[in-house]
Amino acid sequence: MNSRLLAPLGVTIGLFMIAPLLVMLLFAFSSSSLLKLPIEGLTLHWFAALTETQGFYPSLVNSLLIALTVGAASTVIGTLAAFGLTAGRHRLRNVSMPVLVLPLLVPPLVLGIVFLSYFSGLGFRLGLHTTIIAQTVTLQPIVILILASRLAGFDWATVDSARDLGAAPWRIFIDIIFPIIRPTILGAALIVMALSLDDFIITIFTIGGENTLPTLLWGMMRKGVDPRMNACAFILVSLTLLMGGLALRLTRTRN
Amino acid sequence: MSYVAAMTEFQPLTTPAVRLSALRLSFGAHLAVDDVSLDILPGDFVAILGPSGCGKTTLLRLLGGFLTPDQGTIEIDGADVTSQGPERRPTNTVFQGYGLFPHMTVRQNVSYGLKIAGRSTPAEIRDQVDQALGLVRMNDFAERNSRALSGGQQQRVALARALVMRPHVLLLDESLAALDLKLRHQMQDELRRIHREIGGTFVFVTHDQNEAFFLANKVAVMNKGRIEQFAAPSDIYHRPSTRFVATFVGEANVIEGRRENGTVMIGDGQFLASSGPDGPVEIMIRPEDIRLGKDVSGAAMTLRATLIDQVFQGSFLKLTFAGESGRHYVATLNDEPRGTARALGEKLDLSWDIGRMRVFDKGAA
Ligand SMILES: Nc1ncnc2c1ncn2[C@@H]1O[C@H](COP(=O)(O)OP(=O)(O)OP(=O)(O)O)[C@@H](O)[C@H]1O
Ligand SMILES: [Mg+2]
Repeated sequence: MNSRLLAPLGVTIGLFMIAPLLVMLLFAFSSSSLLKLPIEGLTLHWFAALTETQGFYPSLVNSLLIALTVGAASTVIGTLAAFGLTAGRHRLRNVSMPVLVLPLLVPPLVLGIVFLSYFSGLGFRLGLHTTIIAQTVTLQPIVILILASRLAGFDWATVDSARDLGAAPWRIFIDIIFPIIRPTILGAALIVMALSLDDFIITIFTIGGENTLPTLLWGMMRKGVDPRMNACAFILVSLTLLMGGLALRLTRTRN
Repeated sequence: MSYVAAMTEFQPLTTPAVRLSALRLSFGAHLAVDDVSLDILPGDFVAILGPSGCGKTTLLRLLGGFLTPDQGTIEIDGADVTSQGPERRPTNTVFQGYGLFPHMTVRQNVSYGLKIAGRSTPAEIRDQVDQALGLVRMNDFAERNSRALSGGQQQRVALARALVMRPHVLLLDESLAALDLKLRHQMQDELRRIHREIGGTFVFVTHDQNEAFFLANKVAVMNKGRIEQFAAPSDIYHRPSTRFVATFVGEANVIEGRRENGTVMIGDGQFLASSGPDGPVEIMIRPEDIRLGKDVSGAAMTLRATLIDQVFQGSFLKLTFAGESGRHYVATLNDEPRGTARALGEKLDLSWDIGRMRVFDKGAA
């Protein structure tokens, strides 16, 4: 297909897909409580109302807490795993990669049920900690994949050179390897945090009586629809986009 | 002490800079380095020359301490370093991909080793780095990010980064292979100049015969993990010790023959005295050693052959002949009067000095 046709077509498809989201976000600022177009006026009223909703702040704090912990934990685990998988030439390599990445391929609903029965089988009390464990297991494959692909293109001659110049292994990691892959690690962490903020299915199964923003939103929806939910969605989308954007900037290969 | 004992305890006056004894290393079932022994003298510029996959890089990595041999020992300046890693050896390597640290400036790259060693003050490090960068003519780029350099410049920085450590032996792995031809020649000149200026022992891996001859005073020709010959370039070229060396380095006419009772019979009715066991042999003669015309001196061979092809190659003319047995001979002539033309199909006399021929036993390798 001609590339001059391709560009407008892409934009049209993009708009078609993104339009409902934009409309949904727009309603967060609508002065009417009815979700209908055209909107009559703009207001921040729904954001104020949202903050007064019972359980909003605890949910927000929970969401951020979970995102940060899951981000940190899966980044550390995923990075170590990626190193083990790419640096070693062991026979297990071809087997371990698919196994470690398996959680990405299983439907979240199934994972949620599995986690729930697993935790209750072990007699765990559900709460933030169980959600953190479940999300870490689910999301660390993303870090493994991102890091493994970065390490596959890694110039190991830098490591050989550093050794040749007298650097001990720990120095090589601190001085050479880590600085070179730091953007990728941060990017992977941000992507995981964005996905964690967004997660509903795994969370609802594992969080017990607590709430995150997505589960709060879901609870509100069961009592009826009003623009507070659009405001809540707006906050979620903004946070996610912010992290995703940062992640893209960081992981973009230079040159 | 008896005279004989004194003889056996005789040591060469200089300790070799590098001594490899019966080195052997295999990757699984593949013998990558096979019984390599080599003495490299201080100040030598040695080229390890061989086809792709013959084990050059593996040998260099053994020298640098990145690999440990299965058997054999490596001595540097008389000290056994076989079990030492690269961080402890008095060697430094310039890798094929350079391995510059992409998150550092040129100066930081070159300073890194000195900083790790921790023996110099920041001011001393600065001076030494400036000196090293001066040697490779990269002073103006000291504060440049190492990512923002051309291939040739990266090569220079990698060289400076190794040289600043004052290695007893500098190892270079196909360092120039990635550069375009012009830049490669320029860097070859630079390497020669640097070796002249600072002295020291350089070991250089290449698969390019011209590069090896241009740079090195000793060439080790490698094939299938073995060193076939280690000698000065002119010896490698004129007195190759195996058929592989003869054909890998330069062009060669290889003629099959048989040796019986100290005489080699070449198919086209020619005989040659050659001592050795009876059996099939191969005889090598370089194209430029073949002359046109009969030789009457008696120290030369003559045979009659038909001209079947001639190609003008600028500074010389390349002629292909077919002998009476149908065997082909290639001769290059560079003392041609301009414009002399010969007709294809013409029968001509070819001759060459017996001393220019090399005879290889066919059974051996
Ligand atoms: N780490 C390794 N594991 C297994 N085999 C290896 C390894 N490194 C090298 N080899 C094999 O050993 C042989 C020699 O490799 P080496 O890299 O030394 O060749 P080379 O002479 O440097 O070739 P080139 O000119 O292509 O660089 C090759 O057949 C290669 O496939
Ligand atoms: Mg190589």
